[in-house]
Amino acid sequence: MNVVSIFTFALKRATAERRMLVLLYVINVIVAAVLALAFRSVLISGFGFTMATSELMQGLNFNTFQEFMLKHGAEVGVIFSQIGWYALLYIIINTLLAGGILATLREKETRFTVREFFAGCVTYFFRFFRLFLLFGILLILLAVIWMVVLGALFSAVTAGGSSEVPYIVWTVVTVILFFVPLMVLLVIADYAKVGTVLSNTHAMVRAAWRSAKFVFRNFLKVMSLQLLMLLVPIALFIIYVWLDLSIGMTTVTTILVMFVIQQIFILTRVWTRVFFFSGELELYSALQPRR
Amino acid sequence: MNSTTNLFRCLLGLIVSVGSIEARQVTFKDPLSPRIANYAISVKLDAEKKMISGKEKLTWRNTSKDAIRELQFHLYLNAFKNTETTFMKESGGRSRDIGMPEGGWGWIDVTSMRTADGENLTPRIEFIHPDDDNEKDQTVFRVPLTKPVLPGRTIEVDIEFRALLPRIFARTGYYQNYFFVSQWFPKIGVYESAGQRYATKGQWNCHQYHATGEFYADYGTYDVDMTVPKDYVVGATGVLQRVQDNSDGTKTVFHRAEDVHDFAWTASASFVDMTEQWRHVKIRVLMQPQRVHQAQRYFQAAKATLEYFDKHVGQYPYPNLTIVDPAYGGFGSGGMEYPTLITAGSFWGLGPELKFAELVTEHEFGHQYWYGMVGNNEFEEAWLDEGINSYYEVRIMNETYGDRTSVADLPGFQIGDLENSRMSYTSMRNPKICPVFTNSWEFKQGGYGNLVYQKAAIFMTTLDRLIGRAVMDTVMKTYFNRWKFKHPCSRDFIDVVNEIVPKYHGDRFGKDLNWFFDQVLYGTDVCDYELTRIRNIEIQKPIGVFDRNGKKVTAASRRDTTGSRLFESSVVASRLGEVKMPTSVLVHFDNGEEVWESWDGQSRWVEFKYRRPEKIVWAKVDPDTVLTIDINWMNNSCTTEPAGAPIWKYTVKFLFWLQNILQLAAMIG
Ligand SMILES: [Zn+2]
Repeated sequence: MNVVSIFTFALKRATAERRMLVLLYVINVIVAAVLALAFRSVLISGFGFTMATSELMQGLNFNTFQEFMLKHGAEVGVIFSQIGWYALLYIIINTLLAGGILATLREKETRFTVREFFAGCVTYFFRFFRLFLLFGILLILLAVIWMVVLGALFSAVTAGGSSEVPYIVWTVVTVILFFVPLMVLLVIADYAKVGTVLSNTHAMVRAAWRSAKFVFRNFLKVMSLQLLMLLVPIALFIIYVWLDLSIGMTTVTTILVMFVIQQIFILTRVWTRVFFFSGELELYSALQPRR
Repeated sequence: MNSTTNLFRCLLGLIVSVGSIEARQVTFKDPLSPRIANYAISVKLDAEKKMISGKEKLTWRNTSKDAIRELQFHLYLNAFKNTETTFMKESGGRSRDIGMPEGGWGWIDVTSMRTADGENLTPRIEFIHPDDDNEKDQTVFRVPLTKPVLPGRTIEVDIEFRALLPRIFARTGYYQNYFFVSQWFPKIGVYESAGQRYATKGQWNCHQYHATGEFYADYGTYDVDMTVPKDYVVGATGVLQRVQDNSDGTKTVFHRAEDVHDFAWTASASFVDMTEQWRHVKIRVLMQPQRVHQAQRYFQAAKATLEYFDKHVGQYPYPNLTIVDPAYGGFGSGGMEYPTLITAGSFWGLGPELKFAELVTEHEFGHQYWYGMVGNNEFEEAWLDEGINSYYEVRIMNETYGDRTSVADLPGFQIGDLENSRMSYTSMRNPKICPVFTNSWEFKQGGYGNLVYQKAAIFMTTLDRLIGRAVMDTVMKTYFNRWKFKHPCSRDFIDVVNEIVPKYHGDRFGKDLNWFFDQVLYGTDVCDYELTRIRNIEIQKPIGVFDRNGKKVTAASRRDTTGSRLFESSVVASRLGEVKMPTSVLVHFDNGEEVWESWDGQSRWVEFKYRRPEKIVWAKVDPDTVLTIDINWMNNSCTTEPAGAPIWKYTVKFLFWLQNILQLAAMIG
């Protein structure tokens, strides 16, 4: 199986699991809505009965924004400081969900049921949680070391320059360079989960190691599949930005229309996660026959 | 000196001056200014050692009625000499957010100072520090004269100096092969005679170089020749006379500037030299090579600003304008004004969505009027140039680039210059920290920029909206014409306002507008009007027992059987701040009718009552946003039907971005 056929297979496979996608989307909405509603209540208390809000319909009026922040900045700050905890909570929820997604994707012939989905979640949760801790630590270590190395490289290259051009170019290059190894590590983490589900192993460090070996042995194939798949969410994002810019949110109708578009976009992001797992599962099975 | 030698001197002087008039182009046949401080300077740049050495002939005219027994001079470059200077102590080695580069010290020494009579003044030079008790500060010196300069007479002083340029972080210095040389030569202070500005007796006004605030000098002519390496491009105040190639691999560039009060120049091997014409003005842009594609933005902004000032204030009399694009690493020299030469600032790859290049060009050019031609004392009353200029900046930027987009015009992020200025004042932790009318160096707790630039720009906008644009333009034209090439003070500006406004408005604003400036310029109080509440109470039929024709009648039903409804409605507007401004209240009823109430804004609150079949839907205090100085616009309105849509809009946006963040985090899980 070549990369392109795995790609098209994954497209179809992820799209076919509609019920699972809806379930994943609903979970996303529920977690986010809690904080969004808290944010709304701060907005109401700030903007309650003033007409200054009408300014905000056209765009973000900075005077209104700043006067609002002057009075309600502390409450907004509390809400924004919660985002980190929500993200952490959501990571753990997704550690749980990953098992269900992979178990569902593995059984190509079986019809999706919520029961079996959650059975999959529970089966792999503790193993995936160990993987999460392992890769979390690796990710932080790699990020710190890489940042120090790149920082030194950056200041060496840009010191004493006579133009801002190399500075800007190197900033872009450094930022890209910073993310490349982190992305590779995340791919290894994904394949470790895939490997765990396919070979039903319980030794997580070994699973991680096997996954790393797999990724580096098949680096070209693994990465070309990743990049090919990455094109889909990028294209979706461009479409979203285009819609946002051309529709805007300046009337009740356009707010409603954009809300629907945004939620469809979030659904595609949930789909993207399933899509990636699906492609990775397929590639892993193709290159590493089940033992 | 006997009469024969005197005559000889006069003749010689005549010959020399006739000779030099032939050699140079005269810009103005009739002087525009009193030409008090006139300089002829020869300066040589050592590009390797980053040093300059110069010979300066100062011809200073005593226009006061006093016999002058000492001269006072600025040596601005000594601000960068060591950690002990007043500038370094006040700034902590930072200026306009740029830190001093390590080891980038600068200094200036006067190596010789003699009068034209040959009297050696050098040993009499004494450093003084009129603004503080810092003995180590060497930015001002005095030199006593044995023979006083009598009223109406002139003194000639020959000065030799040597200076190390600092690495650029505060306006002047070098970065690699880019030199921006300003505040560089021994410069005489301003002798203010009794009655001039606030002087009660004749005295020198010669302040030290401070962390905040700028400069003050008398008008005159400058004949400056600059010797630099042959491959350097030179830009300078005034008009280029000629270029002379020297045998030692250098060239000498001769400039003459008339009726200006400062001289700055720049030299770099990298400049790309570009010119365009606007009417009588030759606009020259000295561009960094990597940013040549941005030059049009400078030209366009400069032309729009020239046009605007010409139409609304007065003519720009000089034949040229030079715009310097500072080198990377030399941004500290950017965003500065000098006569006929300004420094701007741009960045490779920075699109026209962010109007920084335009804004800085507009602002610094505006200084040709407020600082250049109207020469207020920037040390003591910086609002007269920075505040008035920032007010024009808002006008011109908003007219040229849009009210809402004149600072930034990115998708989802737009900001106009008035918003930007207002925000800088209204977001201050303590807007009462200091009056705008404060010596620049005395903004010790900060707030110099927020108040002197932005608050002043905002109260000028408030004045504009109170008295109307046409009257405002008359005020500003009168002030400009009356005070160009002079040194006005705040009082002089207010006098013009008090003279013009009653001509058009009678006593609508009282007999004068002192109350306005007392509050916003000399005072620290804030202005904050609020629409406090709206009430609609339906008038119901009274119930109970009533005496009617000698009988007791009991009414039990409140309902009006005729079916018509009547409301007793009211709005309350309050003055939360101490500043009192005339304003108005707009009341909107549910049938679309509107009532405009005027309020002198003096009392703490005011109530307007109505008995009508309609209910009040919303009301606004200051509905036309005349009071830009009002610190909070959000509380200026009240509605009985809160608009849900904007709140939903931002809730939905927040939800969406949060969902995205969560999905991004999911990649790790
Ligand atoms: Zn300025």
